[in-house]
Amino acid sequence: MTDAVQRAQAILALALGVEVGSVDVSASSTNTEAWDSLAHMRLVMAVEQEIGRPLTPQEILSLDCIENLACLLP
Amino acid sequence: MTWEPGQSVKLETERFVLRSLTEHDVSERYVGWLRDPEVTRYMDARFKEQTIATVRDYVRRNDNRTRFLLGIFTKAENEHLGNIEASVDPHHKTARTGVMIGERAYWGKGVVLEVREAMIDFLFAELDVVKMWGYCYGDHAAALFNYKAQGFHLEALLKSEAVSGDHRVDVARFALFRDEWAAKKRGDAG
Repeated sequence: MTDAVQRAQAILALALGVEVGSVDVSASSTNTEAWDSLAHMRLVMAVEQEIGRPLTPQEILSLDCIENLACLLP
Repeated sequence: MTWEPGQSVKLETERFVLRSLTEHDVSERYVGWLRDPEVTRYMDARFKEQTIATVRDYVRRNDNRTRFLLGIFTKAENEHLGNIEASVDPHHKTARTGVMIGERAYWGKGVVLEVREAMIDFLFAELDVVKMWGYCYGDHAAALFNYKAQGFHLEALLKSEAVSGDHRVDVARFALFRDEWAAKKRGDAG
């Protein structure tokens, strides 16, 4: 497992308000009940803080699984 | 449902009743939402002075033929918590929708997806609409998430189209076609 994937899991767990161990690498917005619109807002803010710039609309829309989240991290 | 153009609309979801608003529904509470900078953060309503009179005037302009403004009421308490609107172009068979959840306690409770589903069903079934569309600011992560979750696709990005806070943002326009909606509903049911 890459460092980016592990960081993605940690960031998503924080946004969802769950333990990091409960966020599987296959977690996505369609298979994770807690991943609602408010959680997505928290996720976007966390990623923006991590990368130091605002996300584009396309990037916000692409944030729907761990893999895509990891791709955005430096 | 049995509905004729011009008649009040009443739709029901699992948790909410959506019904055409009248002037009598305009309360200080409703006007208060439009004066709340957090509620109107992504809405043009924030640029206008909002009073009982201006909001009543806005409500009167909805004719239940091509302009619809439905209040969102809880089934349990009949609490008015927001509105969903739609504007229909009968010539091109398109419709635009927008949702405002005024009561902050209902944010993040899945209200938008639930009530918009009922409105989409109504417009496709009763008004012969073939294409729905909507838009949001490009920095409105919750709205972007909800459009995607409901099966809308990003149709266009209008560059630097609006002011959000102290900066300019793109506006994302989303679309959903009747056959896509029917396929999604079949998939959800299956």
